[in-house]
Amino acid sequence: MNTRWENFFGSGLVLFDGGMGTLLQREGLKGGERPETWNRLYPERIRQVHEAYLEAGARVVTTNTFGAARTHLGDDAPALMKAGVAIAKEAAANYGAKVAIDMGSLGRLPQPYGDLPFEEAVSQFRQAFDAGIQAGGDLILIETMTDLLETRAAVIAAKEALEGAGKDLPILVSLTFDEQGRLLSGADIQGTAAMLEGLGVTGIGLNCGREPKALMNNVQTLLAATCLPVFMQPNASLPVVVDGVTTFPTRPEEFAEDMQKIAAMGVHGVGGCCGTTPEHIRLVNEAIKGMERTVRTFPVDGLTGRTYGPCIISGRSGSLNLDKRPVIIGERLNPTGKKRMKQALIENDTDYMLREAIAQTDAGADVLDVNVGLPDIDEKTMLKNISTAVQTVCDCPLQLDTGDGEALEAAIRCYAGKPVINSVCGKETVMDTVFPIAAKYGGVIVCLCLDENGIPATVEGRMEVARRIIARAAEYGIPRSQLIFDALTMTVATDPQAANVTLGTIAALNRELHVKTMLGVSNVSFGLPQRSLLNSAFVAMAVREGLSAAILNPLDTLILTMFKSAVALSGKDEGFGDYLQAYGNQPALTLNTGTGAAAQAVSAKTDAAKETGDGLFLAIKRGVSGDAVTYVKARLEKGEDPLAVIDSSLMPALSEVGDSYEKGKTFLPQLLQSAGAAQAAFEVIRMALPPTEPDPARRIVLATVKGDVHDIGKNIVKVLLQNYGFTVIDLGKDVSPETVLQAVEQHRAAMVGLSALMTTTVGAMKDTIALVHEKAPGVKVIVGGAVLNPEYAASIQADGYGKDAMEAVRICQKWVEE
Amino acid sequence: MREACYRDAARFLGAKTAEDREKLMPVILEAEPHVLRAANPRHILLKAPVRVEEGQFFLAELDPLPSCDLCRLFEGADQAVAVAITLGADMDSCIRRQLLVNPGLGAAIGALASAYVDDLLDQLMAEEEKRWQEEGLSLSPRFSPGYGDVPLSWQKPFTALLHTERIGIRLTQQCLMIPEKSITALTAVRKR
Repeated sequence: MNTRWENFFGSGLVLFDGGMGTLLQREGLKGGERPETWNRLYPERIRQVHEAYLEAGARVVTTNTFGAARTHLGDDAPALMKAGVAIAKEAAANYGAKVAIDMGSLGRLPQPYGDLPFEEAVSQFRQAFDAGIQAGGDLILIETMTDLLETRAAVIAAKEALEGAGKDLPILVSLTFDEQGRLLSGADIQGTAAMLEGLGVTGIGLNCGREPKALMNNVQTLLAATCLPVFMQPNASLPVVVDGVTTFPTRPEEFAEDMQKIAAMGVHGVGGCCGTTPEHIRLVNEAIKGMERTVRTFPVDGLTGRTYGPCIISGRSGSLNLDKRPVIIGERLNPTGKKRMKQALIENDTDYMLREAIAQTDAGADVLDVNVGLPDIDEKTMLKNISTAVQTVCDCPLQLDTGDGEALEAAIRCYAGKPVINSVCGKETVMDTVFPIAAKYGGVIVCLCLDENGIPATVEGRMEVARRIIARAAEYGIPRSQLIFDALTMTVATDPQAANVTLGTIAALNRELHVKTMLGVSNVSFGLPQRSLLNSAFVAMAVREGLSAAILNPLDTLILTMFKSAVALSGKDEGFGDYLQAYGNQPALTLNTGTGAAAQAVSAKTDAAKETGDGLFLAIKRGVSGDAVTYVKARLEKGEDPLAVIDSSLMPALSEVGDSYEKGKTFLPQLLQSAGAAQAAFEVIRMALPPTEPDPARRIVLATVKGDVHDIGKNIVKVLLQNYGFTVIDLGKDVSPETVLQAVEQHRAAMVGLSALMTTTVGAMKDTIALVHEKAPGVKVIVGGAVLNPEYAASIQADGYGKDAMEAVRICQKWVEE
Repeated sequence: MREACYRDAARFLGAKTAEDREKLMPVILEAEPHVLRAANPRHILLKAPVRVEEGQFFLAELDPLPSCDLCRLFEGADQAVAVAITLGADMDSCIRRQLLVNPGLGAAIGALASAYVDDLLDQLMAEEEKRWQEEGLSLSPRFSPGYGDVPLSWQKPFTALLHTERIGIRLTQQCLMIPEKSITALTAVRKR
């Protein structure tokens, strides 16, 4: 069956054009001058470039609109796009060639890594594509992309522009990977390809960066990673700058010779990028003349007719092939049954959730499930914010876990990579909600074997639901390779046969439907003692039946070791790689079935700590979090009043450390280590205290001001403030004055802390202070940052200036006491 | 890493004396493998013509910049070496991650990363200077946008000239560089 590419381009090798910029430089384009402006100033020269490539044999010309976005050209962007397309169409008409609406990067990184809101990125791309489509381009080419999230914004914009115009043009995406096969933002070829397949692009390419020879490995990697057509447009060679002019010394003959080799590898299209000229393209045309395109064969999904490659999911910079070995999905980012997580969600304590995410990946989770579903929580905003935040500190793929279609769409839209979607089931309304979202944005979908009638009690009952889900997914063009079936785990406490039914379902799903399988392991032991023992045995049995993914607590050492051992024994851990990485070169394990970071034996110090009260003080002073937690637990177990623990040990320790820092006897890392240890101890005490409404006098809103993206200093202040009992509402970075005011009013904060690092952004600080003082009189504002001093702080009407984090805390303390 | 990195990192963390530095060395040494693992240094170097005329500084084909500091630095020079260097996006991510789980170490990693990128640039410029010395020329101290009377906004045309997007450096609307551990600089080529 022909792919979309073949239906559009035909079955042979497609020859794209070459570089535009270098040729325009020869025609007089100055450094710093935007090439797109020549669509209006010198259209004839642009048309001549297109014609030269067409004469050389190119059958796809790319419009001179690489930077035709608002961020580069302002309001002139759409007009210059249309002019570029018109010129290319005029040239192409005589050759029967296709015109590719060409767009490159916007130049600014999308949030959260940069300062461009994701939807603003989509909007800018959309504006460009709308103009190009109106002008009559034949296809869309998004090229020279180096950031995964920006690429996603561009493709979404292209799809929405086409939908809005009622057109169905091919979308090609070409990226620049380094020689290690990574984008500059870190994503690998496999993960990037998976995302683009999920988004439904027509072809994936590699362009720019290096010459053909240097990119051969990347081509092979891409060809193995995707079943989509692949195209290649390398540079002529590495650029050499002479007297400010960029040149590319490699001869066209050498370029053509290497491109012939690439053409034989199985690509669908070839062309050139920076430094290539019509002569390069002419020689490539000669080199590939008469060549049959090497056909790559992939399995075909019987129901959808679509070919499919490996089932890969991806995160910001990590990818995972679900076909290779069973994987661990960390379950801890879920408020169900977790008091502290619930509290963190209600308080919007993102840092707590991020620490849980990091702890799970450090313990061995391959994927993280993210579930923020709580009554009275704005799930749509929270799921998007938390999954986006987790992606800034964890590279692994995420599993977006929600029953709310709007929340799912909001989160998946700006997800960097290809996620797992948890979940769909056999209910018609659920399938009709989730499958369209998955079809638009891409994702591997967890399918629960239940429907309107509930959970079938038998293997065959669950299989019947699975078959219906597969058939319905196919109606949306989703092949079964993108589905992963949850065989459903019920507790054996109420049905002793529950485990057998689940295990039988896993085996049947593998044997008869050839689909991947998943389990939420811990359900099996609900209501029984020593749950970890049962969960561990169950997961090993499930792996034996062919389980593909287990949702479990990776901080539970017993279940983690049983899982990895079972996988090793199943023959799916190639070379015992994963097992050896986890357990090779280690002393004999002493297993602890507790949760949290207590995977090591309780130290002898604990016994001593139970007898003395000094251990906690010393642990905080030394900044040893593990010991601080041990000592505080020991004291609480002895029956000591939690508030007394704070007053007698915690606060005095912090105070001594703070004094030492202010006197220059200790430094920032030690201060923060101690703060971290105190924070860990506070977490334990907090759970022992009845929940109370935080003291409004100790509520502070923190933000890095509008236009500034530096937040390390602010984050250090935050850690210290929290240790001193302040409730911190952290708004992050690049925060507008209005958002600060809104947070002050919403949380009834008594104070605001503002940070700015650059002289260009302190103006925003002044505006924020003025707004807060005007609309929330009585709220005090403290400022800090490398460019500030007490005089400037006073001149912008700040109520306080903290030269460092400790001073900021002292000032806030003083304000509370006043 | 070179000794200069440890020394500068300690200074960034507040050390004023050798004794202060000694106190900070354990955490700096603990930070070192994190920095080396996360850092993916890339750079771009560009030789470009310059001239100074009536208080205006001309670099390649950029618009003239009124800058007394650059005019003074480039007086008598007709060439510049422009450079951009970055430790990459993973460095920012590593610092962010460590500040969450181990804030003290995170602060040390941030300080050491700043010192490291600065030292890498020093090494790069030292090698570059050797090449120029063969022609009887030398390089001036380096100068970066946002310092002296060169506005930070000049970072925009400067990074465009260098094509810093090729090594993953982009600017925010306020002309701050991302990744954060990045430096751009300009140096004059002069007769020795």
